[in-house]
Amino acid sequence: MHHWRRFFAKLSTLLHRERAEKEIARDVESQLGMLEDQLQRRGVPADSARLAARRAYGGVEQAKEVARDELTFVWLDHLLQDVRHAFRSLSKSRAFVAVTLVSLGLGIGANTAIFTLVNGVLLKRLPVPDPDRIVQLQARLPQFESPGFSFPQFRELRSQTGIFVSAIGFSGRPALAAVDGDSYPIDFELVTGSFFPFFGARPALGRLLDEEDDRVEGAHPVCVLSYQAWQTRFGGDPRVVGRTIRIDGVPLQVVGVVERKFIGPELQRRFDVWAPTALQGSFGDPRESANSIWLRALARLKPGLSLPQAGARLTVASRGIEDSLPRDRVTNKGAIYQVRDASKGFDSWRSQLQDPLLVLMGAVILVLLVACANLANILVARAGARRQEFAIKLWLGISRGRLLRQLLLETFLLVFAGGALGVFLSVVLTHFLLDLFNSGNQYMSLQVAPDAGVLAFTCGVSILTALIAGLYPAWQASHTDGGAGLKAISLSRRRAGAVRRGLILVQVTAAVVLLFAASLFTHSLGKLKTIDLGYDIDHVLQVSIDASGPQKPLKPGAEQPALAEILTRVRQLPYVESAAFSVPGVLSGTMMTESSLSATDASGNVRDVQDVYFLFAGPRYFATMRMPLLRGRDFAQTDRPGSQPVLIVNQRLASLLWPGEDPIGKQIAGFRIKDLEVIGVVGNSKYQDVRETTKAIAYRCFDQTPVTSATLQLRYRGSATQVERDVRQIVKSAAPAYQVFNASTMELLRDSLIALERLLTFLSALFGALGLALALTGIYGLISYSVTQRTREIGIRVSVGARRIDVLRLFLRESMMLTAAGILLGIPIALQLTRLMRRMLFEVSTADPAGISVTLILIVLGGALASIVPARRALRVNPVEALRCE
Amino acid sequence: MSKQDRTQVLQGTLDLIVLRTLATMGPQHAYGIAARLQQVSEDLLNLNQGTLYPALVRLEQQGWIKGTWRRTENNRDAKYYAITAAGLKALARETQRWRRLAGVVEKLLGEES
Repeated sequence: MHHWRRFFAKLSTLLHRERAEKEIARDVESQLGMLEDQLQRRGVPADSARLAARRAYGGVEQAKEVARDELTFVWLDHLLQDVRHAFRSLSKSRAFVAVTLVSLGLGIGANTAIFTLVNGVLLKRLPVPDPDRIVQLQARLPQFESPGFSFPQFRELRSQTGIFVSAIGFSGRPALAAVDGDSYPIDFELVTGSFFPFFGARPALGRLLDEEDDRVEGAHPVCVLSYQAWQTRFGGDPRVVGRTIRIDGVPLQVVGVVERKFIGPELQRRFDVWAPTALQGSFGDPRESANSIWLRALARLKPGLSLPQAGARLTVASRGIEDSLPRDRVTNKGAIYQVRDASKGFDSWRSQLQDPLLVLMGAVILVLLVACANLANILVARAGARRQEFAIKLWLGISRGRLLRQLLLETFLLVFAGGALGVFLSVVLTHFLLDLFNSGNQYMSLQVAPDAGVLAFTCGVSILTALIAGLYPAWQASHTDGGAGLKAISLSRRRAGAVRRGLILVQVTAAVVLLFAASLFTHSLGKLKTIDLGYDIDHVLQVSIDASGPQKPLKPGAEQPALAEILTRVRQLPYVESAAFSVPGVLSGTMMTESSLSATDASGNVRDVQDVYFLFAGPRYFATMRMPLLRGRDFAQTDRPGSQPVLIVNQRLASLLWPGEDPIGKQIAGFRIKDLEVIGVVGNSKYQDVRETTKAIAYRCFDQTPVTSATLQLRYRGSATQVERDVRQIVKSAAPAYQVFNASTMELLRDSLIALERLLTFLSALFGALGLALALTGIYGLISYSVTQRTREIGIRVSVGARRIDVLRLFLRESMMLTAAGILLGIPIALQLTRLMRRMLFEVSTADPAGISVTLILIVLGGALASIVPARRALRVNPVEALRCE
Repeated sequence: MSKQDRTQVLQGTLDLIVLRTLATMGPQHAYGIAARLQQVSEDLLNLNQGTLYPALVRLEQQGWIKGTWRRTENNRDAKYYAITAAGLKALARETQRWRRLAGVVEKLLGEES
């Protein structure tokens, strides 16, 4: 086609510009010559024939221009010229470019980083065909909704073939893997047989798990490795298939490695090793136990069935499922089964992150807005300073459109360079954020990475930024009056001044909102950190010890000599002040409840307390935790299996069972024992969460009751790492049948519980500081420009006797007015916006007076500082020189 | 003849006119084409060389005409443009299109009056 021919011809002209230019000159010259000949032949004199020929030709330069345009891509040609021009123009003002790049880089970088999280957590969908058909199963119970099921429950749900095409169960947990005598922590998941086919996963090596592996309990001790684990732990060695690794002491044969891109049911979590649920008995209760709730489930809906329809059918089926389960079970009784959308994967805490992430997204958009206003401000000032340049260009015949485009192009170049810097910064920031979140958190680890969507977002944001910041200044510049522009135009300067002040106002307002939000989060975190837990977590290490073989010894603590040996030796360590056993450790994420405890009070009434939290505690537990023993005695060596079963209660439980009476010596029925004797009362304390309300807690005697694991509580001096190392050493040598499962300071456990708040506080403070710094840069720039502009005026004022303080006041008043206006505008907006954060704050009002005060102080001090520094230059103005200049 | 009576060349028809001229007269230089057009139109067409030249550039780039430098009888260097095979094809196509269009316009105008 001739269109293509033309396209390539134009392209070639673009590359051989000079040759084309010569050709055009030769053509036109020859044509003019022939016209001249002709005119002479008609009697026009030779000396005027040349001029006449040019006139007859009709606009020689225009014809050349049109011919040139025909020869090449006009727009592309102009664009290239303009890009070169923009580079030249920008390279002349390095300071401007540097400031702009940094502020844009930070603004766009923060946006990209937060969007990476939003994208990874809230937007991404499961990489399976038709993810909309994937649902998450849950049980609605009288008190709460549970995402967990027992295996018999799951089996019944899976058999609802009228609702689901397929269903998978899975249960993830941290575990210890031992390979060649080397052991390290991994994330381990037990999965049902159809797990891998459900996601359409393929093996990278060997085979994946199938239904046969999962059919008979304990029959196939096999496992599959993640690609990552295969690479890092086995160096990608293909001979890994067939090898045996020990997971929590259970030997499993590796049958394959799953492909690299496989993620699993939850997009933000990664697992290292998968094994069939048929092996559950080796790691915990038997799979068939109806009382053990450990499986989570996803299912694929039958084609044509909508989510509400499926929910309705499942509700109807709930009764039948209930009837087919063992009658003597105690958990998940009377469950109504439900489905919810899981197109974005299994939701263990995604919905918890939604509000915080949206708040952060809002914050970074504000930061970018401030950066954007900064850029616009500098551009307006630059346009003012370059008025003469524009006037000359317009006078030389450049079109206003072309000038507008040239200026916009400068802005785009700047913004895209800033965007590139931003992408780089965002990678660093995202990495840092994930580290911060995951390391301060025992329970969840967040895995997200930027993708094409994130890049598209950044491009979009950059384009928007360039347009918002660049459009007005470029328009204003391109409407410079060609003639009058060479002189000063006071009107447009005044308008530009108003625009600049307006932009500063936007910046201050946004900074007020950001600072207020940050101060609320900081205040709330402070409250969370200073909650009275009922014990002292400072310098306490919690070490959980587990039997390392598949057979767990279910014996009372006192009958496990290895545990006694560990305790004795740990207590001998020089920097251990005190140590004791418990099960579980408080704040560790594990909880135990007894459905009912009952007792008879003095007047013969039987009182009953439902759902009582309990834990097993050894002697000196309360002393180690520094919990007050209010009445009675602690557990002692004499409390042994076979002796009178004893119990210690907390204040809350005592007041519920025996209001106004002394509980010591009273008897309690519970834990299948009729006559537990209360020997002590301790203070109230937090069990699972720092935010929980006061709970009734019972402490059973560790030495009297059968336990399968133990948690060592140590109060130490000095460094936790040293203690941890020594404890591991002691366990290894004194009790080889046991292994240290997990060790962490209680401070870390507490921090894990408030990890989200810590992240929010850190980020909101970061963005608040960024917003403030950018807004102050804006004020600084404005005052500094104003000082330069008003040098002459200052000279006059000083020469007629103005004092230094008067001159300073001149500029301070301007910035203070702007700051005050920003506060007046910002505080009401902030009060409205922060209401969205209500659920994220702990015991802090969204109109927190302390937060408002901090915000005001920061803004006012910052504003004063940002204007005093440049205003001081005005004091150095020499009146004589000032009047001479201009 | 007053200036108002001279007709502007209709957008897009200049290419057609040039192709036709070259097909009829054989290779011509720019001046020759302009002179011929003026002659045929009896000075009705307002067409100077400055307007003609970009059309020649465009046609050459499309491969419909080809220019070669030769000496004129007056001993000047001039580019002689000749129509190519592709140009002849295009001419046939464009002529047909023009006739169709002109017919439609004529018909419409006839109805109006």
